[in-house]
Amino acid sequence: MSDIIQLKQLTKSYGSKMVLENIDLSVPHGTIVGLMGPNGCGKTSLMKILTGMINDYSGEVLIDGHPVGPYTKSVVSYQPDRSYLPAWMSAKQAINYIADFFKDFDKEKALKMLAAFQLEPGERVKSMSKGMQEKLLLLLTMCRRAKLYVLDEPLGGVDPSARQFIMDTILGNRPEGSTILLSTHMIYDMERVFDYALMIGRKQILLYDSVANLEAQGKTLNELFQEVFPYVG
Amino acid sequence: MLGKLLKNEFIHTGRMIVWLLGGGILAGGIGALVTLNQNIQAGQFLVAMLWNFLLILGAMLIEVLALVIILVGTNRSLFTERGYLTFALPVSTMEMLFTKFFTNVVLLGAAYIETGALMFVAFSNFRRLIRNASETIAAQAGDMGGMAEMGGLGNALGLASFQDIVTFAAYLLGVMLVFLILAMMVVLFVFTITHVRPFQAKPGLWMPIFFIAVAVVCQQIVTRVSDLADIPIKLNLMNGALGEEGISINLVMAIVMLALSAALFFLTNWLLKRKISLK
Repeated sequence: MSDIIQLKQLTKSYGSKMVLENIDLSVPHGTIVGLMGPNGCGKTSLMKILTGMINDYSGEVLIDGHPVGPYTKSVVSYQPDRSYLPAWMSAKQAINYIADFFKDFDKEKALKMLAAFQLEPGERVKSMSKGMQEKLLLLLTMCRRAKLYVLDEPLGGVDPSARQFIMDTILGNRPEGSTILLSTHMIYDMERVFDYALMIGRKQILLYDSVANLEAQGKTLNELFQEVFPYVG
Repeated sequence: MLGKLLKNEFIHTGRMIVWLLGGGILAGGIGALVTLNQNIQAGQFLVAMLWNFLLILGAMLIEVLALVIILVGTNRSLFTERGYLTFALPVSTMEMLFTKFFTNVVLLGAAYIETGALMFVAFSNFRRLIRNASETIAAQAGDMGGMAEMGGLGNALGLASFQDIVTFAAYLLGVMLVFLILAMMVVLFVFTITHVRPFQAKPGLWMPIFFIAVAVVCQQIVTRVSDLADIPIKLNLMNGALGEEGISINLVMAIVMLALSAALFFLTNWLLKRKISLK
């Protein structure tokens, strides 16, 4: 199986502060990878590099065999950890906008999901609650038939029932053969869905293995996380 | 993809200033109607004068507001949360930059043309109002010396010929376009470089500094190169012929300004492609 993500000697720093140093990584097609690590360890930076939001780094980044650019952006569906839609845009306008640029966007499915999410097509982003905005962003991300989904903290700050709803939406709409890279702190809730666990911290990849291998060692992801990142009070 | 980018950019940026341009056209139309009445009474005269005065203020306001709306919109769509949408699109940075540049030049150009047209309408109205009023005064005063002289004031303010107006407008448009192209590229370059490390932390602080520095450098380059190759060219704007008669245009200066704009375009594109990190 070929790799959807290939990183070679990836280094990223913010001024004098280095967050990723000489990272090498290969993520195979068709897997769900959990990206974990403490706050500020470089999870979001890594995701931004993969999606072309950060361009000042060194090393090689290949998505589906291509350097980050128009092609990779056409096969990557990215949900950042914040709302990016203009306040004046309505849900329908947002759907039309994404459909205009991404050939893999399923507009019909998006309109059905809009109704299922109880979102009004004409409602503007500025009048939506935070939860409604998150639903709309999730819809825009998951209605694409992308090769790689990069989801930055999609479960952050939501209640358990909303968390279940978001996970069902992600897993239920994921095309066969696609890869999901999902960052989260909700390790306990998520370990059942991950194929691979990727833990980064101290500028390095501290753990990258299949969840099956890790389970064979008799440890849960939660326990491993606490071993890799011991809490210093 | 460039076509889609341009379409969406015109829709999204245009929707913000369409009401501004529409309001200006409406106000100009009303100003013209108010003034057209030849037998205007004293009260109407004051209203018409006031309306045209407000029209001049409004025209200047349109220019300023259009500039603010377009520049703030550009900055937001590239370098704030909305940048996550812009930079996720499957387009090259060059397409992205060209779209911003082209849309801004067209919309700002439209706003400037409207401002110029409104100014022209307002000043023409003033002239017509004064002339009509002075003719009325002259007729009423008969041969009462001083009053008749005052009436002659309006007649002295003759209308420019249509040919003169077209020539001046074409010259002004050409000059405005070249300046607008360079100014827009300076702005886009400054916006971009102030969102590159280490300036990214306080772009608002660095923007005026970079803007002044880049503007001074550009002005120095344009002046010095133009002085080195000072070739005065007379262009007859009515028939497009180069020769002895017409408005003097420094084509070398225009070419240098366009070359600088192109250099800034490629430099800005490089920054967008290699140096930008969205917060």
